[in-house]
Amino acid sequence: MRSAVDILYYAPGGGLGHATRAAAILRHVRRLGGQSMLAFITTPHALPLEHEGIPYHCPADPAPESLRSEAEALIESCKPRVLVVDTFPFGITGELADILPALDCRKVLVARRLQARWVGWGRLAWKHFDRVLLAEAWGEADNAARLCSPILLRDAEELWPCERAKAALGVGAEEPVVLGVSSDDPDWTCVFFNLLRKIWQRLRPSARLRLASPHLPAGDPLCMDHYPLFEIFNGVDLVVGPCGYNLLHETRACGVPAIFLPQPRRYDDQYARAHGQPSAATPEGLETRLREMMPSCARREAAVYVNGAEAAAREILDTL
Amino acid sequence: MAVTRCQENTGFLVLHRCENPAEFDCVYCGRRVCHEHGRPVEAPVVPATPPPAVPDAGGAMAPPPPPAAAAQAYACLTCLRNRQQQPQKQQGVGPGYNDPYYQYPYYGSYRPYHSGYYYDYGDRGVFDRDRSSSSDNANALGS
Repeated sequence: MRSAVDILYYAPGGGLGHATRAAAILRHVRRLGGQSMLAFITTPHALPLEHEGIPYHCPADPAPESLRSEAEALIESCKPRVLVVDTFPFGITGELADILPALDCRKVLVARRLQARWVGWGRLAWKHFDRVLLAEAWGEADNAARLCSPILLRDAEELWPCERAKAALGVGAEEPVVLGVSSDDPDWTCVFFNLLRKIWQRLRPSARLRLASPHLPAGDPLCMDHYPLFEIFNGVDLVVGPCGYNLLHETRACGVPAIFLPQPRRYDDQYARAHGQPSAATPEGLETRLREMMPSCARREAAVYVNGAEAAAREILDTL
Repeated sequence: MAVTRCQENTGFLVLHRCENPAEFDCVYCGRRVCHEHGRPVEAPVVPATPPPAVPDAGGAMAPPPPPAAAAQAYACLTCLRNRQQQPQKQQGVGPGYNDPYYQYPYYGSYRPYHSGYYYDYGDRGVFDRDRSSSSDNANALGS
């Protein structure tokens, strides 16, 4: 029977990271010649896929009880040659647990860090996949999995040079910039950004503060609406934000210093991800970190890194 | 001479006019106050103008009368309290710092670093989410 799509990227979850990884890998699949692809997401953050022009499907009802029937119907109608599952091997509510073993297509898991209590979604579930790609290192090494470089939405040469990035940030070429980032919910983002403003009022540093979020108040001169934000990281001198997959790996790839405020998640383990990184757990701690790490001049080095998205795309295409 | 009542107000719970007879004039406000509500001060008292010397019948000028003993000045408690507060307002603090704008915690740079008062409950909410009920609010499925 003919497949409707070659690659179905199944990426449920509420955060921006799921859709971003899908977009990062599928844009490289397309560059490598793959044309027929579809992403399945449940996050409201569809911008990464829309921006890349990658077709995607959102379930009409993301409630757990209806997710299984929708996933089953989609896989049945798409008949993908490769099913790529992001993060949750059996789906975010276990909706793939019965479907996966019965599928005769190739199956690839793009695994990301999960809390230890979801160990059942780890190695025990990996045996159902032809390939397991680790999008970040955690726990013990496993021969069944291949560790990729972090999967990022842009390659190093696609990032804007420092001067252009500074201009996009609305600052001079020599001005240091501290960027507050959040793709968290609007209420938390508002509180977080207010805290940064408050600290700026107190420290009155020479570095300029900029704020970036999908939930930006209109008309605020501090707020950035550039997308993808990662593109202008060469112009950023310090980042402050939660410790989600994207922000940690983007800052590390670019060599941008960062202060992380790890947030509790149902599945993701931001506290473990932030381990060993500069982080803060109180307003006073954040203020102290900022005073310690406040940039006094603009960085000069352009980012150099390997984007794991291309390697992941090759691995996926190799299974065809 | 009519005895006047003290013009200071008194009372702890219910403010009322003092019942004591007035004994002194406040050198600052001129109100008549009693011995309880007046305190001796070193405020300069403008002496009464001495009577002009008048030549006697022989044409000689009599020596001027000796200066009268400097009268003790008194001030009411209200004026003393007000004058004690004035120097604090004048102690090298710019007018901007009296502006409530600067005393609102959002801009409260007058407070010491790491004062527990600078960051409020809302600020701590950035860090104090409940882990046990954590989920990504953007999506009930979590992340």
